[in-house]
Amino acid sequence: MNRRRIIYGCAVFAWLAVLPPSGAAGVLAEQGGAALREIVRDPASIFSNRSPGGRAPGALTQSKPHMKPWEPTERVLSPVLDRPGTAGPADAGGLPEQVADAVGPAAAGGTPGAGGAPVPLPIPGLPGSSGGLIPPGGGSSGGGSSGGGSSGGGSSSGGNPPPPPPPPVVSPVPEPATWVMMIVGVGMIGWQLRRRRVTVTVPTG
Amino acid sequence: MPRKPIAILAAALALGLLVLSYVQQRRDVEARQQGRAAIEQLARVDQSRITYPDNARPVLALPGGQTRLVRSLIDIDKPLRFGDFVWDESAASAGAVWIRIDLTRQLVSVFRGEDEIGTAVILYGAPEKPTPKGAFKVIAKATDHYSRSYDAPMPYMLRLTDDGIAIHASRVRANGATHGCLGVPLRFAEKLYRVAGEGTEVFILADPAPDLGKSA
Repeated sequence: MNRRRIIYGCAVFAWLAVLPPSGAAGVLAEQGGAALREIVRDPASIFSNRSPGGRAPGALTQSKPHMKPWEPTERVLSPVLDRPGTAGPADAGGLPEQVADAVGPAAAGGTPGAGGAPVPLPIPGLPGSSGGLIPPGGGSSGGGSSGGGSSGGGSSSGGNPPPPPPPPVVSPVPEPATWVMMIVGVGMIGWQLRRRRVTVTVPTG
Repeated sequence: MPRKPIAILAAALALGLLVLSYVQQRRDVEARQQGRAAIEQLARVDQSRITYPDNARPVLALPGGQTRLVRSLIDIDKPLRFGDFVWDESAASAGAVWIRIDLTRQLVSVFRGEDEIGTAVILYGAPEKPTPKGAFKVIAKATDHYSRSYDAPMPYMLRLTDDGIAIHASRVRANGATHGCLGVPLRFAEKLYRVAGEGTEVFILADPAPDLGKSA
């Protein structure tokens, strides 16, 4: 009974092992030649093989560079890297550059040097304004800078605490030492489990 | 009942069958390779050209009801890129030069007699300014043509129609189109200009549904 089953099994195995591959290969060998002949000889397929493909819709006829539509461009004429108004602090944000410059010492130091009175905005052109762009009170306290530019903003933001350091970057791949530690730990756990099982079985036997 | 000898016998039988099947498969593979080698030897003389046997030359159907026999084609086993071209006059026989332009495949093929001597990727007319299809002849040629209509240089121009459709050198790049002309790469245009002249036949066709797997 058992022998017969084994023989049947072997026969089925032999049929599976031998017949389908050789049969499929034979069919392929017969059809492959004809198919290959067709592929080699058809000029349309040769042209298709070398073609870059059909053109996608929305092809552009415009190729000449000077015919491109006009686009506005910006050009920086001075070596100032920050544009005025954008890089300054929030308190002087709405004011023009000259006004922010002139108000700068008052905002930073709290009291202007000599006067103590609130300083009117020295807008040039108004009759009440005295000094034009000169900082009031000969103000040498804060950010009345000599070169102009955007230094008024720098002086007023000096008192802020430094920003907190960025959080450390955690690599998604563990370090080799971490790997070793993990493997050793898992190994120790396995060793302990195995050892405990062995010690448990010994007293029962 | 002795089990071990039966198991050994079965194992030996299975092993033998496996070896047998392996041998049969190898024989099949060898036969297939031999057949393919024979076909390839039949089909091509050299590596860069597909040459058809004399009794099995294909016929290209062209616009205007014309047909042309083909003896050999340039063999390029990979798609050409935009700006690429191949020029091979080594197998050129005697015969008139004619040009087949396939708009759907974006290809131009230059034939001399029954042999293809050059092929390139082309640009053709945009949908609002389509390239006309049909059989044409070159009616004028100029090396340094400058288009007044489009304010653009058109080197190595071969004019096909009275309203200005021409084959000329162009910057052939992906997804580009022309105003109806046929743009070819500059060096290809130079070679084409050299072999083509007034009266050279040009067939412009658009295969309705070629078997192209992609679009570019």
